[in-house]
Amino acid sequence: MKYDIAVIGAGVVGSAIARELSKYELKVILIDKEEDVSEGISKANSGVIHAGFNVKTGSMKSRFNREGLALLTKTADELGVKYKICRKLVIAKNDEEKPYLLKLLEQGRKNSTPGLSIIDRETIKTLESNIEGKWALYSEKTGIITPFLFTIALAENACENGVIVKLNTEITKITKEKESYKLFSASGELISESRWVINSAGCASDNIASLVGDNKFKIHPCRGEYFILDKAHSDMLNMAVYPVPPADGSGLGVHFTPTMNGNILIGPSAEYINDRDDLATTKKTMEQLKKEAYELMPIIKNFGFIKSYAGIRPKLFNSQSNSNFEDFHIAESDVNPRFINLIGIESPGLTSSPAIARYIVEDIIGEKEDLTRKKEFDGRWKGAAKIYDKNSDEYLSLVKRDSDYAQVVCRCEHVTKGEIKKALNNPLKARSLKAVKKRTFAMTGRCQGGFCLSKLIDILQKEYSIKTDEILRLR
Amino acid sequence: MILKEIDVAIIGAGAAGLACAIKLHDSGIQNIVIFERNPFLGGILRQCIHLGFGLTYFNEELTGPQYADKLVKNIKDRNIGCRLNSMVLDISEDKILTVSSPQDGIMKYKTRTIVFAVGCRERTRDNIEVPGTRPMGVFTAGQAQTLINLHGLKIGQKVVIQGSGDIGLIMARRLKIEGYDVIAVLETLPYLSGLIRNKVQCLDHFGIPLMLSSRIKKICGRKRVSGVYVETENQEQYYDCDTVLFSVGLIPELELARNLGLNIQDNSNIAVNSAFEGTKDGIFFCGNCLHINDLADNASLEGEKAASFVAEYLRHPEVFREGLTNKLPYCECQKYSQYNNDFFYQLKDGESLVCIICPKSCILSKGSNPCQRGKDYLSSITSEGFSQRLTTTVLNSQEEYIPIVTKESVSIESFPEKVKELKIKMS
Repeated sequence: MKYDIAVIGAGVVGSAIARELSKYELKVILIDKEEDVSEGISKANSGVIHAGFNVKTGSMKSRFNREGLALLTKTADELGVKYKICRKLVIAKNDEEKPYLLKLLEQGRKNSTPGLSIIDRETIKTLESNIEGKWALYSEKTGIITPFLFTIALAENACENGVIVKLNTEITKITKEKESYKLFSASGELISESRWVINSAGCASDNIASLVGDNKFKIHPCRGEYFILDKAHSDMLNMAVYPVPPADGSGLGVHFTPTMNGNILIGPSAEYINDRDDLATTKKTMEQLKKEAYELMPIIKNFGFIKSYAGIRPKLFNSQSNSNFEDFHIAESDVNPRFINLIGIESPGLTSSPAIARYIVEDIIGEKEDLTRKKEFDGRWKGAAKIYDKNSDEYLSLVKRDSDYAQVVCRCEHVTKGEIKKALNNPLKARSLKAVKKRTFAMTGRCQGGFCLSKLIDILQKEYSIKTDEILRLR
Repeated sequence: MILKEIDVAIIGAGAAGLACAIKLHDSGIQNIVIFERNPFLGGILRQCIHLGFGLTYFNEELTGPQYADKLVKNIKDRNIGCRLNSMVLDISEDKILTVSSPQDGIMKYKTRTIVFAVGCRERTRDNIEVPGTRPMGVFTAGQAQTLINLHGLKIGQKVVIQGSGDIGLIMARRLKIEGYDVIAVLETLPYLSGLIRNKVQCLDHFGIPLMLSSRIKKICGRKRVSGVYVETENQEQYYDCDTVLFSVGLIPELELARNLGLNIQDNSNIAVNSAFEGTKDGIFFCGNCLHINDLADNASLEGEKAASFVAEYLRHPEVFREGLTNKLPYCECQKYSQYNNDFFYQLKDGESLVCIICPKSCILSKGSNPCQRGKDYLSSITSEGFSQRLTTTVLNSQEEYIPIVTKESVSIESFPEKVKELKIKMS
């Protein structure tokens, strides 16, 4: 029950902080209201490792993006999570849009973003033959990573290194004691008592802050819808391709992003909504997405979509605000000592996450506490279930030891029973269809579980004794 | 590394693949192997526990599993090689198959010819871009069929079905028999898309409404479906439900063929010559991966045809392609005559009836002259009201769900009683 530090919210930021803390002799608990980590903002975004030219010079966003760019790839390497520096184009359709590219280039130079240049139509065509545009800002250092897999790796590795992860727990009451904070769940249960609290609750971070009387924050949820293209079209695109973004600061415009799994994402839209949990897609936005996407890449008109979904950006401003830019809010509360708020962590939050984590631990907590490095910390994620290269010797020797690795369960994404069992044995004990899906990509292919759902239910039922009602959420 | 050299690799052990193997064997080509990714033979037939199979191919009315059993018996009698739980991962230019299975690990087979009989998959909610949330409780009709018929699962209670294709209609009845509330079957088009026989037997007899020109506009619910908004000719209505089934068409499975570099038209149709051969030497297609068949019987017939072409190819490769065209005349004969939609409403006042004995769905009335089976059907209707042979699954003592079918017709009203009785009897 007693901890040194409690982290509320197991998205990419909270999980990165928990893992950073697990490098030290500290008792840490990571709490999330959902049944698994990475169920909010970190699940549904473009998964882009931003190079850093999009953000205002001198801001925290710019600082953490710059530091994060190097630190994220290093962290992913340590964990064993795949990423790819796929590069990026920001396309100007005509000469009128070109000044915007020059502005971005200038901002990038000020932000010390490496590998930027302006290219013309011909060069665009040699890089991306299917893309229409007159000018482009070419970024050589932009990359992609699977955001939810990175988050899971961080959280599970934190857990492997001693962090307690408590899922299905929504914090609804916080009491301020003399030297500590007590966190209570909706059922009134005392979940933890800790000297420090880190509020990385994403869309709910304003509410968490207000539980200890800090009412100055207001999150404006801004929904973004996406389409996923069938893998058959993965060779149509090499790199991330963005338009010149809308001027209101709502987002980066409808763009194309390749995923680590070989699909192409189209999106996201940007729409301010009232309900921060409303992840519904809408006909209107779907049509708008297609229209904007066709302009950049006419060839996709004939392509099949396998899935649409929506994510939420936790913004600190909206269309009624005076500003069209707000920085990350990352600071110890001025009214509640040792209570750290991370609010409005939207893009480039994923890229920034390891740098934010390091800042929180070394510069904020380290300032007030004597931190001792843990000798036995092991940064390698042992729970990794997904095997990308099924031609590798490593995989073939696995097959020889365990026949489950030769039993294909999900045909579209080539996921074996061995991988599924490994995923279900995760240290967080997240045992649901969704937990398998995020860790192995089963059911994410073109049949969307049409063939493998029954097989997955079978495994959950027979090998983990989970009731069908629970799997299918019939209770 | 190569385990075996074979003459024909048949991929898929469903209605087409099994019939193809039997025919090949009988024509003297016996160095063949069937690769099946499921742990059983019969493919989708196993989950189609309803009647309506075999009238053309076996000349008797069978359930899917009965139809499969007949094919499997023929396979076993001939000792044809089958690899179960075996997924073909890759096919090289020189026809070396890489196959993954728990019993053999990763294995290679070198073959002279390949027959694709891999069937099709269902179009999903996302393929037709239905907006809303993404909760649990949204299934394709075939997925629901697997869960209910092969795994004995309860998947929800109140169901809305989008799509009046045959699987959707059959699942509407199946759900009703299993005690679900089937709110309606919705069809985007202004007319039915499945067989009339199935509409009569599956919806009309069970009082399930068919709503034409209707589509789901939005799916609601966070963790589990809570309802749907349905649009019918610009009118919108909300229906409370916890389950949504989509039966919105089938797409040939062509992923392996695509990886092999074969020509595929419009992203969904494999380009073949009149011998069912794709754009690479010695690679043949039959069944639902060639084109979507209305009946399993036709898929089997197509499997047999493919077998004769494969035999010809293996025996006389030099003259095999003489006289072939790029047209596929076979598919055209499968269309049944179209029926006027008004007919359903006439049915209710008893003036005329659709014959539901065979897929031809003849219209029976005073003036018409039906075949003997049609006459028998007509007399059974007028005297006893609606009745059907009941099909369902029961749990046996080995904890397996097995399909059963009654020998005689049972009146629809007594279905719930009869189902209960059968389930108790078996357990």
